Amino acid sequence: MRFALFLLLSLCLYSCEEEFIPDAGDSGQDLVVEGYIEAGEDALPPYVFLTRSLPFFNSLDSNALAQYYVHGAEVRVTHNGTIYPLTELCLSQLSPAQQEQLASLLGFDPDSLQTDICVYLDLSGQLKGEAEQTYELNVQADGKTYHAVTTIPRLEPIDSFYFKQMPDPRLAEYRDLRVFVTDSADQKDYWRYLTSVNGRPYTGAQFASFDDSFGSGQTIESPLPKGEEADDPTDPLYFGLYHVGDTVSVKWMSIDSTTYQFWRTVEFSRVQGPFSSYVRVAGNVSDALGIWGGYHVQIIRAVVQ
Amino acid sequence: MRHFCYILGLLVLFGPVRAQTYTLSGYIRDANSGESLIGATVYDKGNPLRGTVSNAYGFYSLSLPAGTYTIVFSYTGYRQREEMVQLDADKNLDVSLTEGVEIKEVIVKSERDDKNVRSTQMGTVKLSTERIKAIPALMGEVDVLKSIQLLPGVLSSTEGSSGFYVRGGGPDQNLILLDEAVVYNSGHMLGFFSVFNADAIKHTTLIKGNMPARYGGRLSSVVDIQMKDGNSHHYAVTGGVGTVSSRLTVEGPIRRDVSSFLITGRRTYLFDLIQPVLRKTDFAGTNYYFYDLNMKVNYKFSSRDKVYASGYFGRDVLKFKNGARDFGVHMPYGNATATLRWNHLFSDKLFVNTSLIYNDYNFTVTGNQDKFELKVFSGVRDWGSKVDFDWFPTYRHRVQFGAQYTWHRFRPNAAEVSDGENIYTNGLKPKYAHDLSVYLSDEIKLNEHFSFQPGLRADYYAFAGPYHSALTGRDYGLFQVVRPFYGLEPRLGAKYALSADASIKFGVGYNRQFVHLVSASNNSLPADVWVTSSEQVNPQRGIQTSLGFFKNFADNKYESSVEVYHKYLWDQIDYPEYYTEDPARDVEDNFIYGEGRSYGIELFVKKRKGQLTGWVGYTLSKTDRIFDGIKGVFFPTTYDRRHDLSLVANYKLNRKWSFGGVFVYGSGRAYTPLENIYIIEGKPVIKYGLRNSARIDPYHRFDLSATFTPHPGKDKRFQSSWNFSVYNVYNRHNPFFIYYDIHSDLGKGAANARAVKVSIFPIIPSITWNFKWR
Repeated sequence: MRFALFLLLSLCLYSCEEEFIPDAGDSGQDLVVEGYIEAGEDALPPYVFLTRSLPFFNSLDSNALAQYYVHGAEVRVTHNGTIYPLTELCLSQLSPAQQEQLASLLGFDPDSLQTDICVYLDLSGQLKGEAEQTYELNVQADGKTYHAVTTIPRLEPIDSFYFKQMPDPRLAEYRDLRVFVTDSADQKDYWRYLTSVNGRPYTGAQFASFDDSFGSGQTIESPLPKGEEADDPTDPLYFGLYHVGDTVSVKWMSIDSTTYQFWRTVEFSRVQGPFSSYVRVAGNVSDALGIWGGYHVQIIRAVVQ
Repeated sequence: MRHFCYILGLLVLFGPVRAQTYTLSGYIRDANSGESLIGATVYDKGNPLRGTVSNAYGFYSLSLPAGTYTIVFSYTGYRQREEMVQLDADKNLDVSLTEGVEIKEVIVKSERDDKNVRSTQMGTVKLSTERIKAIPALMGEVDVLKSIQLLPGVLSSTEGSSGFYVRGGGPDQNLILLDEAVVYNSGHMLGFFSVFNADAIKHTTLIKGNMPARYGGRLSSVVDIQMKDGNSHHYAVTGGVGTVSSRLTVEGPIRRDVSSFLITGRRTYLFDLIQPVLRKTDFAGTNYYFYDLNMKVNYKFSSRDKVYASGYFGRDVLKFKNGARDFGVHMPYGNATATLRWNHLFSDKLFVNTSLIYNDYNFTVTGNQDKFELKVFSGVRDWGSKVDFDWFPTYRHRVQFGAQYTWHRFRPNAAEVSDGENIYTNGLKPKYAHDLSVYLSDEIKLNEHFSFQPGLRADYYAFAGPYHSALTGRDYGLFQVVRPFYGLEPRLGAKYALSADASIKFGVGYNRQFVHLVSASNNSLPADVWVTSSEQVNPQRGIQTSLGFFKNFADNKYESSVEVYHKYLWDQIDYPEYYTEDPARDVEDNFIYGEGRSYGIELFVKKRKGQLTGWVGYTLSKTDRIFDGIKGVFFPTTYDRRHDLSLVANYKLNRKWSFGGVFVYGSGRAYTPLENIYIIEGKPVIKYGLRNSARIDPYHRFDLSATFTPHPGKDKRFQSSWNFSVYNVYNRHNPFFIYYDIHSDLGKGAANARAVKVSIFPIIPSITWNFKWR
């Protein structure tokens, strides 16, 4: 349906935009939890960001953004009755080498990092995500307790992939990534994927989460558009394509239904226009915004050819 | 039910003073074209209480005691006619009326233009197509539904849209009929234009509350549109060339005064004109157009039997191509309706119309890239029949009764995905339903002051097989009932005449609705799916009460009314706030249910005669809904508008020049505002506030039009006129929608945000050339 907007946009050659300042509202700020626990050969150690939501702003700098990290919270993960405390760690507490290592791990570009990012980590290294296991997150901050549960599902991996050449001569240097996935008929499967090009941080495409509603129990071929990056070409001709010669990493993740619902609502909430409605994001953390998500991860790496 | 029939029988048989009565009956037609006139008034000049109005086929029947009468026939915009009738036996009198508004000397002082005061029915507006054509129109496209939006109690869904809301009801709660066939999608071009080509339309009736018992299946309103029959006297070709589309109508007698036909077509060409440019781009093959085709033929077998066959076929077609990426979208959608009707006179007092009705709305969108293809299709198809009796036992009674049956087939969002080798489907099967109802109503004139119209409609709606129940695991065969719904819908209208030109009216009605259109968007879209009441989905229900004061002034030169209404709705349907479109799932699995209420006051003043005509309508109203799944508190709907004002004026300067003007003002539409922003995976995410807890700017607009007829004169075989119109004269930037443009780079420590209002229709001039040849 979204494509029908083409018609509208063509109709509205004279359309006019005006900026306005929305009402401030009085809801205060919410705690925002963003935490993941991963299983798989390339799994990251579990980590949790705690921030606060921001009222509408025109612009914010690094100082303002840094103030929205929540410090001094008690963060614990419980698995099979064992409690694993997570410890707050800010980049400013680390040596430059450690900063670079941690920033890369968390998906930030260490070369352009200007904010003192803080994260809660399992410094003991004892907590490792495992498939088909459930993990409970408890956060105590600002005198309140927040709670979330996630399950890491069994991995339904990418079987194989290839890069498809584009027919248009202007796209001779670009390729479309196609993957084959065999879905298991015995469980409902949900996936999400991120891509990284030439070692840059992983990013997601506009729509990067899906389920097995079509083709359950069968081998499915699907395109995987490249994740969005700030310096992508603005011409839609190049949308989602990979440049020949680049090294591409795809982080392919099996996720549970709650995590899928979160990402799907995030993706749809970003679609705005005359024929869309607001979508409220379905987080899984009680009394807070955000996600505590379990990922079963597969990483594939290849040079685009 | 039994008590109701008993009381009705007593009233009919013993209510009036029994005397030797005879019946005067016949048809009322336009003298020039032979078209039947709907709602024309017939009454005894010596006692206006003794009167009736013509029905949807122009038939009237008036039973009076034996005697000599001066019978007056009148119809708005036509010269009144008086006939001396010696009623000593049943008599047939067919009457032709001549258009005569501009010939001042023939407008008789006692002209009977007080139907708004005298009729028992309230909340009803009848619009002739000629009046609609006099109103300035967006891009010169005359639009029946947009004209309706200028009436109090009726709101436009969005800027420029033909979609409308009536007294706080949703867009699916309007019953839109074209020659008795339900039109499921009334909009072209995403709703900016309605599917009704004004050249094919004879008459439009809007009932915005307390609908008579013969109408059912919707909670809010009825828009009953009658197509022209076709000129039965001579051939005529009419048409127009406009900015957006062109139209052509051919009509004429097949056999004079026995049979006639009408064919009319319309097509847009905006995108056809830019094809040469598109061909040189990556978008070669992209196009959009819509078209309509209306056809009608009638045949009079005898003075008692007449058959009409009419049909409509319309399509919107969107093709989007991007050759460079081997990407394409093809989206055709539209309605098809067909109606076969047989009018039969059992007697001078009993008229019956039997209809066979077919209608179909289907929507398909196919997107493909390379070898991948996604196809989604949905729609609704009805096969139905109905029989409607119109019985005029005495001048004090008009009894209407009948029955209808429809077999519905609903196609849900069936989807197919293909990777070039395999086709995967979501497995959603069509759903079916029986829809049966019977009704009875009587308009009773007790005396000069008091009349009332009790009515009762009984429904039987059954969700039926073939169907596999996921809840019980049971399989149902064709026509087998899965879940039945029974119910009664009582209706009552009453009028008390305070004087010859003032009355008070009251109406109350209970309605049930078995088919539903639930949109996840702020605007209804062609992709929205009609769903049936089913195992999971209950019928919507509503009760509306209204009270009005009607007063005419200056010998009916001005009419005015004040109406207050209250409406309560149950089993309203919406999507949860977390809903995301998923072609793999049945939409009804996502529904949430709640209640609604609406109340308001409508003021209306209309000037009906003279060089300057027009009206002022104002509505003060409040509309909200409550759903457990949406915070469980009442919130305003998107169609809650506290103030709504319309001013419509037409000025006929002379025979060559006439002018039209429209001003509209509406309180800002409710929307769900941004409350907070937060960052996930380095990108901003919006946390929205309570549903519809903020308002965009008020809407207002002024339109003007001028019509120039170079060579006026009724005797000319060829006539043409130029219509110049300007939409949004003072270039108001009315917000169409808002969006938030937010970017963040957590690593770099930068974030910025913009809230943006987008308006789409600035000042738009247009020219249309219309012609008529006969």
